[in-house]
Amino acid sequence: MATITSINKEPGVDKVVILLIGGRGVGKHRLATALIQTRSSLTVEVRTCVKLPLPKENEQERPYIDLIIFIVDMTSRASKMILEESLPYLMPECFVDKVCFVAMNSSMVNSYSFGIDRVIDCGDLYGCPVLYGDLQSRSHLDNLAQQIINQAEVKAGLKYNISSNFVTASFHGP
Amino acid sequence: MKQRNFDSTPQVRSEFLPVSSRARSYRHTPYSKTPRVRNLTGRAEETIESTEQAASNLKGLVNKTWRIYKVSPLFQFDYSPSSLRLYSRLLKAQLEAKETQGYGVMVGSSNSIKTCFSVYEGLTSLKGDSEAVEIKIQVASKTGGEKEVFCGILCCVEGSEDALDLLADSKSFTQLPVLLTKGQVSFTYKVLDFIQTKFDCVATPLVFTPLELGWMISMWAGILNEERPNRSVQLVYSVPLKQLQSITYNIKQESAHKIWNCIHDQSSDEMNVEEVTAFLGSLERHFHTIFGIDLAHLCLKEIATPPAAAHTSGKLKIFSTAMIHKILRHITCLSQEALQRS
Repeated sequence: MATITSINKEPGVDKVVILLIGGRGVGKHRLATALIQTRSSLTVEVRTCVKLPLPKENEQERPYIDLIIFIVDMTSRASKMILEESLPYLMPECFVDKVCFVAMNSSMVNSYSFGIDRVIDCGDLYGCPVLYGDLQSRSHLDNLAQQIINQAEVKAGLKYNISSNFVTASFHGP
Repeated sequence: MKQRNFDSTPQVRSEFLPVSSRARSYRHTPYSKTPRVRNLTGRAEETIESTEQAASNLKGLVNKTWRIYKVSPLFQFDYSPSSLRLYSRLLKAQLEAKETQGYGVMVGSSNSIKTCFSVYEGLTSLKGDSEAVEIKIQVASKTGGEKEVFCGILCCVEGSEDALDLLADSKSFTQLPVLLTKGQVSFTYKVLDFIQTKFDCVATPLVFTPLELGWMISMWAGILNEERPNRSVQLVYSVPLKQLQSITYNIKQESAHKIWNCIHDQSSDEMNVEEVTAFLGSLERHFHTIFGIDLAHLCLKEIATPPAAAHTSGKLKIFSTAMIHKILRHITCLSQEALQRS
């Protein structure tokens, strides 16, 4: 049982590793392609997995993970259950600046299999941002990828004097 | 590591969050909370004395596929017989005008349309409810006699009064949030146009999301229908493949009733969201053990239970006269929630 922590590995320079976690069919590979194609001065490496915990076998070869994105498909209840089962396997310090929730297919309001307020409650509970995405249109996917890359740039230290903690703290202001 | 169940935890946890961050996410989104608890039986205080007309009206609702529209409160709707006759004449005039303009689809003289607005008895169960109104359009058919081309019923069964309190001048508004329609689509659109222009309201189709269908099947699957013992509980899932379009899952009434009794506390009037998840989860787990297909990944398109059947596009069919009030009460509730959201 390998839990993800932020302590035991070193981050790369000018390189960011994004881990996409979500059930099958949720759109991870399409999002990964869009992330790699987004223009940025960073080198982006995207890894995908279906659920946590990650298997113990290749623990040493895995790089330091900069950003963890949980993807939930609004039209399938199974993806929400996978999210609930995976969240306990993340160390608490990861939730401060690394985690982001993405609700896919959020434009198909008539096919929601669970209420969107569950995703919003999840984001509130963990203090993490929630992004909304759509696989149908190319521009929506690119928009979502750009938002994630913006977060990745802040995490990698490219934005002068702004850190992820600063961004999170400014959310909880008055 | 304990698994957190998000259906119940946020209500507890939100006490510990500071007020500003608790309200933060809801300030900028148009979404409201989905209900976690639903009432099964309703607030009807006394039994309604049913007249013969009411009983036959209720029978007229059963075994027909209705398309449901949600209607915002109607302005200056009058129940007096003279006003109802006036509305019938206005609707007929509008239909004839549309026909001369070339929008009509009927062949024949304009004298062949007959419209009728009337009070539909038997659908109210609380004192504060407005009486239901029936709209009928009949066209003279070629073989002589009349053919009914459209039937619409505006009704409100145990509607909540909160929605009406928000309106400043609530006496001139009538709350009839549910419109059940049956008939040709062209007539439906014309009647909707008429209602929207005459009574200054908005009528839009009511769509059932898979979440709502899940609630319906959990609330009604356990109810045995003595009139039709052969009806089974049915779930239809849509599959995104070309070769296999949908999966239909049939369960016998008695088995569904047994599962429902295990999950739902018989003495309680309300149904939780956890019971819904448990019911659907148990059905899906059974399917998975036999066929290896995980239905939780698919979208629920249509459900059928002993008392009623519903499709995600807003179609409803009721099979049991005894459950009409409960079903329409739920539809009224959904309709008002949808109106408040938009």
